[in-house]
Amino acid sequence: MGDSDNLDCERLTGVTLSRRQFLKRAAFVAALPSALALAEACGSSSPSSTASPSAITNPVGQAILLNYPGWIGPDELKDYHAKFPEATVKMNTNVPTTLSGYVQMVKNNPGAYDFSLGDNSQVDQAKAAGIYQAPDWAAIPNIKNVSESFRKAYPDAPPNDYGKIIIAYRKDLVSPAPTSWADFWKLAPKYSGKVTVLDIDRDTLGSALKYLGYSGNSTDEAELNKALEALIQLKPSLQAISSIDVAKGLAKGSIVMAATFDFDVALGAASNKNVTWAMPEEGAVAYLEGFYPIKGSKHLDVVYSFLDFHLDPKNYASFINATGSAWVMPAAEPYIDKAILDAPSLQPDPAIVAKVEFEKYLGAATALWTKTWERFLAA
Amino acid sequence: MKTFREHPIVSLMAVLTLAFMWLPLFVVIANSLNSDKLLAHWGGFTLKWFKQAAADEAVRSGLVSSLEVAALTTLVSVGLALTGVLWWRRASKRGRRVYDGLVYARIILPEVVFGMALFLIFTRLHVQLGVLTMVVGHSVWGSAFATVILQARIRLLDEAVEQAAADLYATPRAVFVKVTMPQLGPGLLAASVLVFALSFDDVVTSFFLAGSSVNPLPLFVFGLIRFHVTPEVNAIGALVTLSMITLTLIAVWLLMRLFRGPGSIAARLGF
Amino acid sequence: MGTVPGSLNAAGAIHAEDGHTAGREGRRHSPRVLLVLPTVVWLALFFVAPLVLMAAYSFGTSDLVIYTTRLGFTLRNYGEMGDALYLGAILRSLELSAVATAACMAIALPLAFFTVRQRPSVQRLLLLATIVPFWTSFLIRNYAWVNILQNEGMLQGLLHRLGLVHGSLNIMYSPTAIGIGIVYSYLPLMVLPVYVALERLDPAIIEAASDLGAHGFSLMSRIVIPLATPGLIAGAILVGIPATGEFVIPAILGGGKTLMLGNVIADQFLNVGNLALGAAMAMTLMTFLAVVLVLVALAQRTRTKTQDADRGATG
Repeated sequence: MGDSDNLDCERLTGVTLSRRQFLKRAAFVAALPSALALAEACGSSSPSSTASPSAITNPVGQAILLNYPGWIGPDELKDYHAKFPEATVKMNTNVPTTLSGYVQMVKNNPGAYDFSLGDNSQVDQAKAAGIYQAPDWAAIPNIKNVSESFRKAYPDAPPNDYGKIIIAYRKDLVSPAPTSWADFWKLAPKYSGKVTVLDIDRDTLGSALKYLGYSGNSTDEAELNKALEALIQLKPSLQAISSIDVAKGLAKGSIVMAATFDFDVALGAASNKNVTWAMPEEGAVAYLEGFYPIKGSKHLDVVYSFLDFHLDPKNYASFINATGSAWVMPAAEPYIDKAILDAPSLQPDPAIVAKVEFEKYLGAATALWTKTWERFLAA
Repeated sequence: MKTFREHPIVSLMAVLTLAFMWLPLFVVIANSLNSDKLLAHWGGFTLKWFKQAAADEAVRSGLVSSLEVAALTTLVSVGLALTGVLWWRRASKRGRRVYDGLVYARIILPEVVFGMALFLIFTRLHVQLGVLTMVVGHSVWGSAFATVILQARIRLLDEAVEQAAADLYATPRAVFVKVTMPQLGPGLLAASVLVFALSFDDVVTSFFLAGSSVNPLPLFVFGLIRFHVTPEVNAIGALVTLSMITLTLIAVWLLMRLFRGPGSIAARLGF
Repeated sequence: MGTVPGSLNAAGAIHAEDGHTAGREGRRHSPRVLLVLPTVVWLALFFVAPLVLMAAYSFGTSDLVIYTTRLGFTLRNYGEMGDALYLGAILRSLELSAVATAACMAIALPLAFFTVRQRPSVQRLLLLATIVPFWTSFLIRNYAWVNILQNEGMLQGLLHRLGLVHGSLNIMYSPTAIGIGIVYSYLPLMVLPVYVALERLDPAIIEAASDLGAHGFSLMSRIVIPLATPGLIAGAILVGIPATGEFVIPAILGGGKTLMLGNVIADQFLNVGNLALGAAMAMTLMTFLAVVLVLVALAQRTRTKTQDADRGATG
C-alpha cells in the first residue's frame, strides 16, 4: 500500500491520515478478510462518531457475564447501572484456564450466565454446544463504531479486543536477542528458572505448534504430541506456567524471557525500559474476541443494552485503558491513553500481522487439545 | 523465662515457628502499603490500594456475601453440632461409633470431592447455586469441626459431672446448668468462631457451589491471584487480617466475661 | 474413667441420673432422638445423597462436544485413571502430603510443648498467636509466600546477605514451595490437637524426669512424644488428608508446574467438563482415604487394647 492509496483516501474522504495511522488500519486489513478494505483503510468509522441512543430504553434485571477479572473498564458496570437503574450487570470471574473451558462452564451451569467472553474458537464451540444466541443487532446500534474489518472477522457478536502471543524479553539480560520460537527454545536452558509460558492451552500449545512449523490450529494427534514433547523439553527451564506477574517479573528481572500477551510487554516496559518484545519468525497465534449472548438467557435486554453501552467510545476507551489491550474501535482513540496508542507491541505493522494466525474452533479435537495440555501440566 | 532455661532448643524452635506463622501477615500488610504497583521495589507509603479496594463494588459485595454465608453457616453448623453432641453423650456405644464415623468422614473428605458431589446433585435437581448452596456445603464440614470441639469439651465435662453427681448428689438439671452450660459455653464460642473463620475464608467448596451471581470474597481474590494480580489483593488481605484479629480479640473478651465466676451472665440469667 | 468405687463412668453417670429421675425415664428417650434428627436429615440430604449420585456419575459418560453427561454403566472412567497423567498426579499428591504432614509434626511439637509449660495466661496468648494467622485469608497468606520465596524475593535477599547462598534459589513454583505452603496453612491444625494432648502433662512429671537426669532429647522422646502421640495422630489426620486433595495451594505456589490430584479433579469441573471422570477420580480418592482412616482406627484400637492390657497387668 503506497502513497497513492493515501491520496485516494484524501480524495475520498477529505481526511488526511498520517502514515502511521494509515498503516495501522491497512495492516490489520492485511490479516483479515475484508470486502471493505479501502473504506476501512480510510477510516469509515470517523473519530467524530458519537454514541447513539440505545434501542432498548428500559432494561430490567441482572445479567451475569463470564469474563476475565479486570477485563472491563473499572467504572463501566457502575456507570451502566447509574444509567439504567433497573438493570445490573455482574461479572463472574471464576474462569477456566483453557479456552474450551468457558463454553463447558456455561453449558454445565444452565441458567447461570447471560453472556460470556469468547473468541472465534469459543463462539463456534458455543454454537456446537447449543448455547450461542445470535444478537439482536438492532438493539446494539453502537456496533457501528467498531471497524468493519473486525466485524467481518468476528461476525457472531460485537468484537471487543484482540491480541497475540509473542516473545517478551529483557534486552539487557538476554543475548542474543531472540527472534523466533526456535531461539526461545534454544535460550531457555541458558536462562533456566527465569522463563515463563502462559497457562492457557490454546496460546501455549499453539505457540509450540508454530515452533515446529505446524498450524496453530492443528488437529493432528501426531503434531500435537510433538508439540507436547517440545513443551515437556522446555519445562525444566520454566519458572512457571502462568499469566500472572509476568510484566512484574520482566520489570524486576526475575523473568528474562516469556511467551506472553502483547499487552504484558507495554505494562512491563512502563516499569523498566529494558522490557521489549519480538514477533517470532515462525509466527504467532492470536485471538479476536468479544462478548456473545447465551441462549436461554432471561435477560437478553440487559445484555444488549450493556453491549451497546460498552461500545460507546468513551466507555470502550476506559476498557482499553484498564487492560492495555489492542482495540477495535478507531472512534475511541481520542480517549485512549497515549502510552497504549503508541505501545510498540500493539502496533499492527504489516510485517507483524502477516505472521499472525488466529485461533479457530477445533470441533471434536478440542478434547484432544485439553488432554494434551493436561499432560504438559502434569509432566 | 523458665522454659527458655530448661529447654533452650525447644523454646527457640517454638519462637521461630511463631515468627514463621506471622511473617506472611506482615508481608501482606507491608505490600498493601507499597505504592509500587508491580511490587518490584518499595515505591513509597500509600493508602490508595485500600481506597481502591473499598471502592471496588466486587470487593464490597464479595465481603457481604462471605459474611452472610459465614454467619448462616455458623448458626447451622453449631446448631447441628450442639444437638448432635447432646444426643451423643447419652447415646449407645454403637450409636456413638456411627456418629463419630460420620464426623470424621466429613473432616477427612477433601473439600474437592465433596464440593464436586454437591455441585452434581444441585445442578441435576436444577437448584440455583448461590448463598444457600454455599451454606449447605460449608455446614456439612462446619458441623463436623464444631462437633469435634464440643465433644472435646464434653469429654472433660463428664469427669466433672461424675464428681459432682457422686459428691454432691445434685439434680441433673442443676448439674446441667451450673456445670455443663458454663463449661460448654467456651466450646460453643470457640466452635462458632472457628466455623465462622473457616467458612468466611473458604475457597474450595465455594468454588463449586457459589454459582455465577454470588462471588464471595475468597473466590474473587482467588480469581485476582490467578489472573490479574493487583495490589488491591494485598489491601483486601490486610483489611481481612485486621478485621479478623479484631473479631478474635472480641470473641476472647466475650469468652472471659460470659463464662467466668458467679457474676457470669449464665448465672445472672437465673440458670 | 476407671472402676474406682464412688466415681462412675459415663454410662454409670447416665444410670445414676436416670435413677434420680426414675419415672421420667420413659419420656426421656424420644426427646433424645429428636436431638440428633436434624443432623441425620441434613447429612442424608447433603452428604450421603450427593456422594451416591457422584458414585453413579462415575459409571456414566460425558460428551465433550455438547457437554452433557449420561448416567450409565461403564468402567471406562476408572480405566482412564490408569493413564500416566493421572497416576502421576496421585502419587505426587500422596508424597507431598506425607512429607508436609511429617514436617508439621516436627514443627508443631516444640511449639505445643513450649506452650503447655507456660502459665495459663501466657498459654492463652500463645494459642491465640497460633490461631490468629489461621483466621486471616488463607489465599493472601499463601500469595505472600510467593513474594517471600521467589527469586529476587525476601528469602533470597536475606540468604544472600548472610552469605549462605549465591545465585538463584529456585524454590518458587516447585513442589518445595507447595510443601511450604501446605505446612504453613495447616500447622495450627497440628498444633492444637498436640497441645490438647500435652495439656494433660503434669509438670511434676517433667520435674521428676529432669531430676532423674533426663533432659532435652531423651525427655522429649521418652515422655513428651508418647504423651503427644494421640494429638500427633489426630493432627496427622487433620493435616494429611485434606492436604492430599489440596488444589488452591498448588495453583498459587506451584505455578502450574506441579499438578496435584485436587487440581486434576477441579480441572474436570472447571475446564474439561468430563464430569464422569471427575466423579470417578473423586470416588477413588475418597475410598483410598477412607481405607487409610480405617487402618488408623484399627491401629488405634490395637494400641489402646495394648495399653489397657499393660495397665491391667500393673494393677
